[in-house]
Amino acid sequence: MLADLMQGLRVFIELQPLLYMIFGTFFGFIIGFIPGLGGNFVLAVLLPFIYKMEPLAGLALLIGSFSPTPTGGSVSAILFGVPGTGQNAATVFDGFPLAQKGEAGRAIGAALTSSGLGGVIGAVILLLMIPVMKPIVLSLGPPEFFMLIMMGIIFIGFLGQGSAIKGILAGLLGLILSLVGMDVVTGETRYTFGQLFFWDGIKLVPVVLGLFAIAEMVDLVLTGGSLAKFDSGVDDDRARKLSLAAVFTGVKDVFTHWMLFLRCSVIGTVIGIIPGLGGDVASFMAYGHGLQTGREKENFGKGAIEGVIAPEAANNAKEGGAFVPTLGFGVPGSSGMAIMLGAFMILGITPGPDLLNKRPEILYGIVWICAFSNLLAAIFGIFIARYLARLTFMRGSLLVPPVLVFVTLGAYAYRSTYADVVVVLVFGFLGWAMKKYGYPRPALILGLVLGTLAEKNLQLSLAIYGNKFIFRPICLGLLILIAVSIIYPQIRKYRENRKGVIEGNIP
Amino acid sequence: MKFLNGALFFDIILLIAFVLFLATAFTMGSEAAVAPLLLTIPGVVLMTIQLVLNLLKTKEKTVLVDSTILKKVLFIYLWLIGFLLSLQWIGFTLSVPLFILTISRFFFRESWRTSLIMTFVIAIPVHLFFIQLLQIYFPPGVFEDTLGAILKALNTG
Repeated sequence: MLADLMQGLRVFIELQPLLYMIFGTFFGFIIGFIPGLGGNFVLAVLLPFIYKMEPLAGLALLIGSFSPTPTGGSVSAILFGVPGTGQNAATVFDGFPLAQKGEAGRAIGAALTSSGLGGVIGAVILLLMIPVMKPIVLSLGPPEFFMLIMMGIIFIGFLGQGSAIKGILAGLLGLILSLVGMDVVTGETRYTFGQLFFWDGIKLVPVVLGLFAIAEMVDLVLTGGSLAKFDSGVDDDRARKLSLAAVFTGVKDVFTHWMLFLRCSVIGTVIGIIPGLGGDVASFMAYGHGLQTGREKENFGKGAIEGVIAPEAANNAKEGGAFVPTLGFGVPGSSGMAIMLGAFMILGITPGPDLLNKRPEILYGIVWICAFSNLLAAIFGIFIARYLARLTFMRGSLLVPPVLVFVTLGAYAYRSTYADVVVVLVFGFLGWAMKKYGYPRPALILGLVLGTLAEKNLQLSLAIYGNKFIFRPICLGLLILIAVSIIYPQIRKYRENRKGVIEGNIP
Repeated sequence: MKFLNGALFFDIILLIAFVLFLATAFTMGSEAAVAPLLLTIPGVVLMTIQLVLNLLKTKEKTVLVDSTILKKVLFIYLWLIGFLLSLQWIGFTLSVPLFILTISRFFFRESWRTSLIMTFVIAIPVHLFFIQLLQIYFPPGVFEDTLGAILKALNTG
């Protein structure tokens, strides 16, 4: 393992991957800082540009930009009470009150250090899980991979926010869209509606650009105003008081509360390993743990530094954990990993046994990228936070035109065809409607990415084992797990509603 | 329709899409149709349930979609479609600054000064990034082609 780890480092520190990682880290940090955009947007915007890159260079750019978005988001959560990403929501509870008390620098120092080192812990746990994953993955066959894919889609649909039915429908729609084009087994064209363009299927890049980038820009146009809605006078003043000395006080706080930091990093990583649970869950669970174990519980919610350290450690560590099922089984650990899976396919990397056995330099390179990008983002943030504060005063009207230009041209640049731009526009409208009416977009992406693989594994399973493939032990276990995951929340919800009715709380 | 709102309308569109996918699946060969049928049948059933649940929740007459929202979405899309057409007809070099200038000035109602600065600040890096760095080829467009032909004729003439 050590030899593979050093090989991963040797490949990673070549000029191209290193430069792309550094650029990606700065880009991801800034995007994370701007409220409303987030990691999925970063991946969507960068996806068209990776297909000509070497695999590790492309991954360095994507992972380098995706991993630090919660780090950037913590700064706006503290300064303005507006989380940069959903994963930073818990940071607002104590980070913003600290800023209001004039301790913004301390809070930011603690958040950035916690984030950076939390990301490293997540990478270390990923490293330790790799030898454990190998024998498990090698014992799985087509039936098990088919069930794992179905489990991933259902988890993303069911365990994410919003209605479970809408989650499943979004996943089904993605799976159906993956069938568009020529069937590899029979050679028959499906859902092409007589259009030659669809013979090659619907590609991930224009769909992601439309669903995440265009949809977010349309939303921004509709909401209007500045990117974070707050009183600029008060917060401008607060942003100016970010002295380096104050920031380093916060850095020291993390080492003072190192046990809490370690426990929350582990919580975040474990949550990340479970497919379908997002960063929001990790940060809130860690915050809850910090509250339960804190010595001065009454300070939580009023500016306790532990209330900043706990969620920030978890939300960055989560990504290391999310890579475990993504790389090992091809089942994404989070919605961002669903897009990342598509990126792996574009770069010619197939998660699973192939990656674990034949491409260790990619696998261990990913570990190094995760660790370095989180650390670099934290260091960058410590020195640049006060200057970034002004970005959030920027009007949406200044951000939207350049993003639309880059997205439109990026969609064309992907395959040099205007038809891809049309696909972007169509999915942009669909993505905006899905966001507005509560249909989770990551579930659609996951269905699109994994649909072909699911069908291939299904056909292999039917050919080798017939209909009885679902009775294989691991398959049956996964099926029971899926059923329990679907049924148990509904039973719990029903019981809670009944309890509310009996107690007279709900009419 | 009395109870039609944006959410219901979107659900109806999705149901029509699932039904269309299901109907098309029946026209496929038996082996190719396995996966489509496995997906579209539960899709139609679940979508119908979702639509019914939505209908039951909608108790009073609501607006289909806010007209202001619809107008803004329509206009932003018209601008994007215009950009796409101008890329084909006018060419990359002129389309990018034209799009940024017009959308900033006429859609977002920024001042001429801001719009011109934005055009300058964005168009140059875009050109450098896509043409110089990525070496992406954008077809010249009808206008650039015609202009090129006229200039060539003038030179030879």
